[in-house]
Amino acid sequence: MHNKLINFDRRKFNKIFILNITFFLTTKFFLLKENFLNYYPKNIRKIKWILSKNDL
Amino acid sequence: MILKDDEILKKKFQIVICGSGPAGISIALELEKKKIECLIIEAGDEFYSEKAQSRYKGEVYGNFPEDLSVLRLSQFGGTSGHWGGTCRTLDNYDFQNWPIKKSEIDPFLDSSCEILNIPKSFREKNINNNLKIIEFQESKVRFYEKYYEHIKRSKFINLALNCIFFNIKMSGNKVTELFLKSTKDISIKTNFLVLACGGIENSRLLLWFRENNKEISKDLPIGNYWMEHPFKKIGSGVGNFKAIRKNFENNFESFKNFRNWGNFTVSISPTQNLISQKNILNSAVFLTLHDRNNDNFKNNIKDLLCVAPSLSNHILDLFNKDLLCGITLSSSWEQNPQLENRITLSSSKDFSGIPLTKLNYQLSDLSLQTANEMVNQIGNYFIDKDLGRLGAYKTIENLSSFVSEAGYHHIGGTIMGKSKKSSVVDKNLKLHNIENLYICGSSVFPTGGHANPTLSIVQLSLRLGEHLIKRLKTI
Repeated sequence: MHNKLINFDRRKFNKIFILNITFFLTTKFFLLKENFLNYYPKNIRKIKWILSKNDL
Repeated sequence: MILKDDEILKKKFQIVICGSGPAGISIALELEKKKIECLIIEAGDEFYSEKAQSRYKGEVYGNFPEDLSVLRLSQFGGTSGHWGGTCRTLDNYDFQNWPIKKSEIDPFLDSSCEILNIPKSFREKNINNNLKIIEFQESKVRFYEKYYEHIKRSKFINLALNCIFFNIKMSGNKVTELFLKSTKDISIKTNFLVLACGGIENSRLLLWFRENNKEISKDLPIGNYWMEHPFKKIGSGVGNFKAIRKNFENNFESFKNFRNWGNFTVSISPTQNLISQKNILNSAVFLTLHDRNNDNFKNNIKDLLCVAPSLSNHILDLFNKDLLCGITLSSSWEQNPQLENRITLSSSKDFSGIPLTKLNYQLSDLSLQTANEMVNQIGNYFIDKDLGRLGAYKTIENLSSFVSEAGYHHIGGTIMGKSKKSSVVDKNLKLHNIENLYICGSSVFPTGGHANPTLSIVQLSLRLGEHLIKRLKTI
């Protein structure tokens, strides 16, 4: 009984922990999406480039 | 020869020139050829002095980038004592709003190049319908070094140093007497007076003379339509070092190493077609190539790859072959004449009692449109020829965030024209309605073009010298 209880708590803890970490990472990703996808963010870009269609 | 106060009083001069800069000296040299005696009045000394320079202080309103007292020199030789020496003739289409055509000052180009010790070579070549590459020359002449000893020994050119031209006396429509302040107050008489004191001083003195002489019309727009040449780094990029050099190698480089900015520079200007089609101003863009040590180079690559990922293989390939270089676009361009940009008199006065300069100055949207259009045109040329990729700095997008550097070229204020309401001097540089008062220098330019003005100033001065010789014969 005692072991069962321990396992149940552990499973519950693992579940909550995984949910928490997933929530945290997802939120962080969406909030800082710009920086994750592009390590050179727009706000420090100084140049408006003249490009051809093939460059994009 | 150099005259002292008493010697000035003993002589009578048919022509008095105020100012010993390139304009004043060029007029005197032209008169000397015909053995006509003149007097040059210089408010400064043989060399720089803080006292003389203090007369150049002034108030500035707007976004003019420099202190007025550091832009010019009050000494023999004027601002040629610290000028950059870059020379080029104005373009034909710069004369659209002038009362004269370029062909009227062209005959004086040979003599002007001799004065400035430069070859008479100002080639240009179209690289497409909209752009052309142009050639500049670089003069190393300091007027003090070249002409001080010459004037000291001359029988026909007289020079009065430390002599402030304080006022004039008029009778009817003629200047009859000049009041000078040196070690003592002097008054002299002359047949012709020429103001050649520089792009700011000409307006200041003329405004002051008008305050003291009702004969000078209040309708004349003295001080109005003042202009500069905005100067700024306007763009940047990366490109194929060898391809760019090869593309321009059959043409001419304007400077081998322009101001030490890079190891290759080519100067690009809009054609008349582009100016009229896009309704922009004249401009010169200096395209300079840099090696990999330049700070902009790495940032430019990062920046470009973020917006153009498809170029990454090409860029990497060039980088690995050691062919990729950084590019900087700097520009000096024309400013459109605006009534709001004007010189007036300040309430403060200099030590001689003449009011100091008050300058109102704003750049226009058209100036920034010109800079953006030029980067756009050169950028597209680079795409067509596969030379690299260029972009405009975001600082030239909005007038509010744009701060120009000073071009040190002071244009307008006493502009020439046919109408007495919209111009100050006529095509012979004579003040409207006044018989014997002439103005010379870049202050008479109705529009500035992009070319550095000194060569055109010397051409106009020699033309004025010739005109004065003709007028002297009629007396």
